[in-house]
Amino acid sequence: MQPKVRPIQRFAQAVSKCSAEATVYGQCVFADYNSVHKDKCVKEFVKLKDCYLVCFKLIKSKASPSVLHLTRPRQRGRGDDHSVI
Amino acid sequence: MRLNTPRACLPQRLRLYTTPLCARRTYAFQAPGGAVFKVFNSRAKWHQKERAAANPELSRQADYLKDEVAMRVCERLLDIKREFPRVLDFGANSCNIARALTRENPDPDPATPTSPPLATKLTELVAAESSASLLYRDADLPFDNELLRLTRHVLPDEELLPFEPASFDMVLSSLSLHWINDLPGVLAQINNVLKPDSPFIGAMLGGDTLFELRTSLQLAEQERRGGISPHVSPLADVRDVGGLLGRAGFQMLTVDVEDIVVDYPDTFALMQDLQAMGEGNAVLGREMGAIGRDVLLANEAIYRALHGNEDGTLPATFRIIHMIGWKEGANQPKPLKRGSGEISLKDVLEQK
Repeated sequence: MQPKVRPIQRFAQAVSKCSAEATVYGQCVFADYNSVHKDKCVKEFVKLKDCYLVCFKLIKSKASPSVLHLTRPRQRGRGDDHSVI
Repeated sequence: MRLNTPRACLPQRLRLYTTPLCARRTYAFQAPGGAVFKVFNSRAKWHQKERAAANPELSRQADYLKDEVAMRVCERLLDIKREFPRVLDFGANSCNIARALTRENPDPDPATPTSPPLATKLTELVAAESSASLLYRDADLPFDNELLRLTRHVLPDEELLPFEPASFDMVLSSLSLHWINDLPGVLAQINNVLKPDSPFIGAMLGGDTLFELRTSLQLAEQERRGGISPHVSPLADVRDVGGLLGRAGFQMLTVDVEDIVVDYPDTFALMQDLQAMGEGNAVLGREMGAIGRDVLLANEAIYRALHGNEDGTLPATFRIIHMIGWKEGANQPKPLKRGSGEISLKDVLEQK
């Protein structure tokens, strides 16, 4: 049996493929980080998210459906509990 | 109900109702000590530690920080030329201190390449920790009982030390005091269980620990959701620690700071390791549940833009506050009275 893949690992893998969009978005926030407000960089974020969604689908389709079935059932708010100290 | 009105205390009702009412009355001198300001959810912390220890392999992999700090804490024992029959490790995590004590050649000084393990100075080590699974995680590994007698003690409440007063020759603590709500109270209890003229050597996370993650998560939440929730604990500052130790009755204080910077490939690796260390967020009043994916996505990008290294890795700073305090004892060296100095420090320093 293949080792379990946590959903967050697939998420991280997908995000790592979008470094160009991430840099643009990061620079947008960084450029004026003392006055960040909601949706300040929404355009850049939407581009980043679109890229991420495409990559995520690609990664997901690579894993065969039977393996997907064997992995842990999706638990909302548990597997990806990534709050910190 | 009628009982709650002041009329209930009138004499005609005395026989029936007054006893419970009067028992409920409190006087100023009966009031308990000052209310402790709760910052952390200790139950959530306990759950996180148990969950982390449930996967021993991952938990051992993420022990690098705790092992390193435990080693640095134990190195301080080299400076104390004394034997310690009975030592308490308060907040032992997975007995990292016991492991550091049994290490070969602990002296980093190149002049003494071979030195006996520090455990030879100790007879018994009592490791006290609130999470049983974490405490017993490595119980079947060889370092156990090899050089020192290790007694594991599960604490029902991590802020209460159920030990006799003046029963330990030293108290050690590595990376667990930063989850204590009532730090002055715990330090006073540590002082109480120490024998006179015995040291307390501790290390805790403080100050700017994980400031990179704190700032980037704040920016990400601000930009994505228009508000922030605490993700990184409020931590004690170096300046506070001296005062805290003094207030608990310790003498001859030494406080110093050390930064350990760890590079991670991405923010997810960092957060995963923190989770495996059992160091997840347990601040009361945090937003419950996982951080949303949008915020995580934004956080990754902002962390990289704000703090990323040139080689593409992400640094995370852990600021360790080391503290040493001695319980008051007879024949202990004491600072001289103010103004009693006869040599000018200025002259000495200028001559150099």
